[in-house]
Amino acid sequence: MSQDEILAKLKKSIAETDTDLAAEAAREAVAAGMEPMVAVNEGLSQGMKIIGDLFDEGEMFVPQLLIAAEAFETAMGILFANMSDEEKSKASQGKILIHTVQGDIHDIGKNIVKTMLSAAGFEVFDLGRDVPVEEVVQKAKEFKVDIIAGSALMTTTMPSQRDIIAVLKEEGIREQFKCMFGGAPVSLEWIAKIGADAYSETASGAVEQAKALMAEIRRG
Amino acid sequence: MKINMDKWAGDIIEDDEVKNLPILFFPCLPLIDKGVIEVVNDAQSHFANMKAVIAKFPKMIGAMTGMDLTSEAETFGCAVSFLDTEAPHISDEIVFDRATAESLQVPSLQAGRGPVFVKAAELAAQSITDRPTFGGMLGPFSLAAVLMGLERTLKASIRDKQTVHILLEKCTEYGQAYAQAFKEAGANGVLIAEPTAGLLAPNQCDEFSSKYVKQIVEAVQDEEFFVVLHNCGNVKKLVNSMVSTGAKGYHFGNAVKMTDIIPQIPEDYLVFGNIDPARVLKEGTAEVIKRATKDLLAEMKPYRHFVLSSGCDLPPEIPIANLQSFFEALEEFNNKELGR
Repeated sequence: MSQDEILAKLKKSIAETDTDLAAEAAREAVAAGMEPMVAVNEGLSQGMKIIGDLFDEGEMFVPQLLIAAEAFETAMGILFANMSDEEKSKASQGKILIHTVQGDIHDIGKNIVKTMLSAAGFEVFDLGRDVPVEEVVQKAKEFKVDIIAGSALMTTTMPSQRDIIAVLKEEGIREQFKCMFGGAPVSLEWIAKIGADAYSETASGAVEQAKALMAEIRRG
Repeated sequence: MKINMDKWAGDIIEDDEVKNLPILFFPCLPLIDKGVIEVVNDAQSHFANMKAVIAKFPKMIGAMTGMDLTSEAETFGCAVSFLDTEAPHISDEIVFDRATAESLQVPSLQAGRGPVFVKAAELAAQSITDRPTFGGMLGPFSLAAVLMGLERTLKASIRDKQTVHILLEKCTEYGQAYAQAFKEAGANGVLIAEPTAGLLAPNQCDEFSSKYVKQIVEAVQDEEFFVVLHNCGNVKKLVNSMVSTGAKGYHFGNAVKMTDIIPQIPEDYLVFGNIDPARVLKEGTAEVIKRATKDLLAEMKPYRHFVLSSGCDLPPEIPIANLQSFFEALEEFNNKELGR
């Protein structure tokens, strides 16, 4: 199979939300010696873009998006299996820590954003749900991420986003991380109030915000 | 007290004055100096808060039980976390595959905290006689998603439909009995909260939610018992599916524009919505609340079957002063429109 055929297969597997096809295509890419980031950027991500656009247009819905995300993650696992952490970081668009905030167990939105960010070439560290503030900060330092992203679905758990900013300031490391938050009750006004850096209502918007934050980081 | 609910709805539609029925319960707890844990476990305390809501906001056109949304799953066997300052939430799943769905038992209506809400509704129906009393319950698909985990359920809605249907039949059996219990207790209606169905495609909503909600509606709705179907998700493309259930009322959240929704609903059905609970009613100033409310009311002027409401259940931390602004905005709007 030619590289173009493999890339087309990778794209199709995501666009058709076919996990088995994604795994097969990823194995073919590895066997062909394809650079993992080429497989991602020119194959998988093209399929995820189709899915994301359809989702934003209201033509595709969350169940299908979750299956597409699963197909994407399956392929990623195969493509990057033999890559070192250093190689992964070097190849990525940036490093993002993502989580659902302390006290909150809602993670569908967070999982969709995670997949979209991975599709866009970011290296994503997913801490899961109901993650204590202190753990978020500790892991952000450990993984040396560029961006801390957090989701809150309830008004009662939103304050954890403010607390993350507070802990970063207390430790004198606020400037080391960009902070991006989202979730149903979150708003631009809340983001401004707590001194965070970015917010998006949509998963695709979160990717654009992450890219903008990385551009800011690179400009210094 | 029995009320002809068809007439109640008809009177609302005929009245030039716009009415208000927010999903209001928890923010009024300070009025009776009680916390969440007590009122979701004790019928008398629950009823006391229902009375306090009406006393504080007499323009509410109905009395409502609190939207707990965990008691059904807890009764099936899920663990619940309680805090005194927020609504309870479920912390685990109990269905993982076909085998656990098949072995799941439909619990007795007497088990768990369901009887608390039914009793509270009974007390309210007996003593609050100038307006209807509504019970509240979780819809079948939303309950299934709690029992099986949201992500697992959504994926199964594509990959393993039969397991989802097995679970939905059990959720509907319980839900129908629960709604019937509210009816027999004297409540005049029930609000069925089905937010998770808002994540589905239209054909999936038909298959996994509306089909089952319809069973409940057909079992309990009549001239004296009104079902309101609530979905606070992005349901612009799901309205037809929702209306197929036959419920006589539809309640929407702030994920949609009411102007996109209400034209899709027959004019003899009531349509409720949709002021943002978090960004407007919790975080907003009096000015923000009044402006958002009046803007919505202005958009809804052509629609006589519109009833003002919050976009979803109002969390405990919403200031009562903000709710006063919300009601004042409606009063000011009505006064202006009616030349008072």
